[in-house]
Amino acid sequence: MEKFLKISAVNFKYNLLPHLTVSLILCLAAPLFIGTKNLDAYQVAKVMEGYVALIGIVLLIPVFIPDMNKDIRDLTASKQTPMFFLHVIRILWALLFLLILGGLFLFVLKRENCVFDFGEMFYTVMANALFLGGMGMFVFALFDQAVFAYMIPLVYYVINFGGRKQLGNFYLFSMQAGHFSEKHYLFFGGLVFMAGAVFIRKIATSLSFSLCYHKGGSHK
Amino acid sequence: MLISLIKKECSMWMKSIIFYAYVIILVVFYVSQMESGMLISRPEPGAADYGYTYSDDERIIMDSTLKDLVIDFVSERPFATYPVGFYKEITLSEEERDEVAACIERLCKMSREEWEKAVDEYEEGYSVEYDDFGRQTVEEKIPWPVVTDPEITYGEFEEIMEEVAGIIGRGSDYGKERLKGHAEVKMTYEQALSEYEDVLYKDKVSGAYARIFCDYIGIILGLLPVFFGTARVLKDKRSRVKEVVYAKRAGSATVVCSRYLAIVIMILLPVLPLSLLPLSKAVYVARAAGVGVDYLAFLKYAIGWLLPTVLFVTAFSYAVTELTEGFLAVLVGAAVWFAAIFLTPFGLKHAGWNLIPRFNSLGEYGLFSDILDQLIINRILYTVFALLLLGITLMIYELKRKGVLKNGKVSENLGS
Repeated sequence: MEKFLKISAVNFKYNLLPHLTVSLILCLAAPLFIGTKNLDAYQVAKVMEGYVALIGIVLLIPVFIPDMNKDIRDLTASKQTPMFFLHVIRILWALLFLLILGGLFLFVLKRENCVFDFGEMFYTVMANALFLGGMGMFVFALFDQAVFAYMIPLVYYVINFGGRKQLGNFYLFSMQAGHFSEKHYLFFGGLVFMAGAVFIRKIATSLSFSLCYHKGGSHK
Repeated sequence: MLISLIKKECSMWMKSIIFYAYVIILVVFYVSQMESGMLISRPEPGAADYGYTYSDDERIIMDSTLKDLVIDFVSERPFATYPVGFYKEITLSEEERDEVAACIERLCKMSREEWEKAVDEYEEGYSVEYDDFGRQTVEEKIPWPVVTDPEITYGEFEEIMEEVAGIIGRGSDYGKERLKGHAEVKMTYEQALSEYEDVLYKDKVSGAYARIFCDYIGIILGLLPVFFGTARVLKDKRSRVKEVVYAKRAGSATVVCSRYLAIVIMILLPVLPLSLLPLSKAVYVARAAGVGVDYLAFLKYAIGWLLPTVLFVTAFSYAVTELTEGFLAVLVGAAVWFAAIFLTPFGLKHAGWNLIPRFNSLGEYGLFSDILDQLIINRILYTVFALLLLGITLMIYELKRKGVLKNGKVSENLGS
């Protein structure tokens, strides 16, 4: 437990805080750009699917950013605590804040006289955020390129404005047409992306560590 | 030195996955948006539809605006506003709806019950049918019933509409300066023929195709250079060669400008060959009509229209990443792009102050001539902004090189 708290505190201070700040600004600035009063369910879907879900990209992709520095990566890989454990802790914190921000945003919309099903809309925003963020994490793990990891989910998001035909069940804005079933695909797709990303990182870390070890590489 | 560094940078990009992803996205986007149809043909007399234009007739402006207001009101859809220059939907409360209804009563001199009933009757006899090409045929059994009272002057109308705009919110679509945008009227055969001849003789055909090409490609070029600028700065940080580069003989201006220019070159490199596809269409149309074609039109439009967008977005991402050494430029760049595309108050055929000017039309030379001055000012402005940002980047780089700035923060050793 002590280790968990220590890792969490370091992650919060050096990794999560700036991204959490950006997400918070994104949510607080929303009323400047989009209507948040007296909305019906379709209009709420537009706000949540098209705007609030973007915090998934902001919060989830940075999970691997601390490992970009090879020194830090080698150092953490040499520690007794496995990298896998660090990644899971970082993901859990990102998910927790995603849940809090998404929930709070919906709570404010309810207070502003908007009419919608809270549970359904909460699942909607989480599914979209997990899918976009998970996609970025997966690309990050696969190519070890942070900029590319932001590029792909953002381009995917843009493609969705072109229509739903080619994207099928992975269309992001289905709730704006009243279709909920796609959200299950996005939700589980997001989970698969995240699990795949952590798995790739685990393999890559153990491969790189064992290569270094056999070459006589030093691990401070 | 500068040229050889640019060459080195370009060859580095040729090995980058970001560059190849950009090329694929660009081609896929072009094919999905532009490759179907899009041929300009001579209008035939007696056709049902020649497209639309905007009227200057005050009575038409008044009646069209009132019609749009009533339709927005009865359909209970949100009203469009642009409070800080960006699109925002506003849904009114019941009290606010009553106030808008009272304004409509004053404009048409009918009670709310009367005009609501009249609209219901109109809607019963109204139908729209679409043919295989997506063209719509509207059938109205009775003409639109809610029109402005003949005794209302244009000045009075503007005052009442300002009240409506005040109820809806700042930057309403019914504000004084936006009223003409409601007066869309059908074009006549003569107007359509004149527009076609403008495309043939003033645009030399390729100009019309180059405009719509720039309109679509500008959407992509407003976003993707952000990733190049950010990736380039972070590459140095990641491979820990910053100090090595700082110690080299090349001046800061040479290093920064070579990297910046290389990105701009690599961004434009696939755009020019891609423009050969719409150019071939323009050549086909021009030959069929027996007129000459301007082969350099795409190059001129790409330099005048697309280059300032690329210069600005690249300079912005470069400056922000050089300062913060993080991914903030990607997030802010994406937000700027989102605002420029989806929240613009300028519409799809307007330059305004938008980073990504739009002209989503094949032809309409007259309308383009009207906005050309604004477009030129817009493009010059973004080029100047880009140069300013490049100057700022240079300053940041120089300060880092001298050790005043370190990792995006003022060095702790500054005072020692």
